[in-house]
Amino acid sequence: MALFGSFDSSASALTANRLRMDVISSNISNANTTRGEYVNGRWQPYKRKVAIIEPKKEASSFQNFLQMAANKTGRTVTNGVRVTRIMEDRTPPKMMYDPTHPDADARGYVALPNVDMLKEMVDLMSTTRAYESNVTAINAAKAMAMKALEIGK
Amino acid sequence: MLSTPTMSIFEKALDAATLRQRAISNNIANVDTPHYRTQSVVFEDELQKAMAKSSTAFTAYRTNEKHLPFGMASLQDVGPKLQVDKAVGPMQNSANNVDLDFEMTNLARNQLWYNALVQQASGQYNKLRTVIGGK
Repeated sequence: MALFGSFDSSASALTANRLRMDVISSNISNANTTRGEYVNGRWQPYKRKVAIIEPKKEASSFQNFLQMAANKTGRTVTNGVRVTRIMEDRTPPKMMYDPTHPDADARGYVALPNVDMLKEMVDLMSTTRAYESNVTAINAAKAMAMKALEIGK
Repeated sequence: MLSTPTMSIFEKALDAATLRQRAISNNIANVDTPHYRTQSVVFEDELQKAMAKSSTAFTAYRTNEKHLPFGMASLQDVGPKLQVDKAVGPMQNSANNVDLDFEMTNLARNQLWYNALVQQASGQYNKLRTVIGGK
C-alpha cells in the first residue's frame, strides 16, 4: 500500500529537518567560539556548518517496482529526503580588532566564527516550518489510512 | 457481482489518490532540497475522457498485450500517471520549484477527495448488504 511510502518520505523529512535544526543550534551556540580547533599551534575559530540535503531515491526497492507494475505509472516516486553530509562554510572568518584577547594575532586581530546570526535565525524559521508541514502531511496520510479501513464496514 | 465497473473505477481512483498523497508528501519533504522538481499525478482528466467516450466511441479490441491501443483508451487502460513538472513555476534560489502553499492545499483537497471515494465505495457495499439481508 503506497500510503505507507508516504509515511516513510515524511518521516525521512522529519529526521532531516531535525538534523538541520541541530546544525543550526550548533552554529548559534558557537557564534563566538574562537577556539574551534587547534591547527599547527594556533587556535582556529569555529566554522559554520551546513547540512547538505538531497532527494532519497530508492529506485531498486521492491516496493517501487511493485508499484510501477501495479499502477503502470512508469516512474518511481522519490522516497523522501536525506542529509548526505555536513560541510563547513568556506567563507573567511570575521576579523575583529581586540589586542587584549588571548587569541589575537600579532596585529591585534581576533578571528571570529563566520556565523551570521541573522542567517541562522532565518534558516531556523524555515526549518521549523518545513518540520510542521511534514507533520501535517503525516497526519493527512494517517487519516486517509484510517478512512480506508472503513470500506465495507 | 462484487467486481462491478463502478467498483473498479473506485479502486483506480483510490489508487490515484494514494499515489498523489505520496507525491505530495515527497514534494513537502523536499521543500528545501536544491534542484528538486515537483512530482504530480494525472488521472481524473484521463478517466473523465475515457468515461465520456466509452459508450459511444470506437475502441480497438486488443487480444494481445502487444497490440497497440487505438481509438479511445478503454477504462481498463486508464491509470494514474506520475509526472515530473519541468515547467518554470515559482522558483527558489536553489532551482527548486516546490510551492509549499500549493502543496498543502493539494494535500487537504486530496484527503477530502479520498474520504469521499471511500464513503462512496463503502456505500456500494452497504447497498449489497441490504440486498443480501432482505430487510
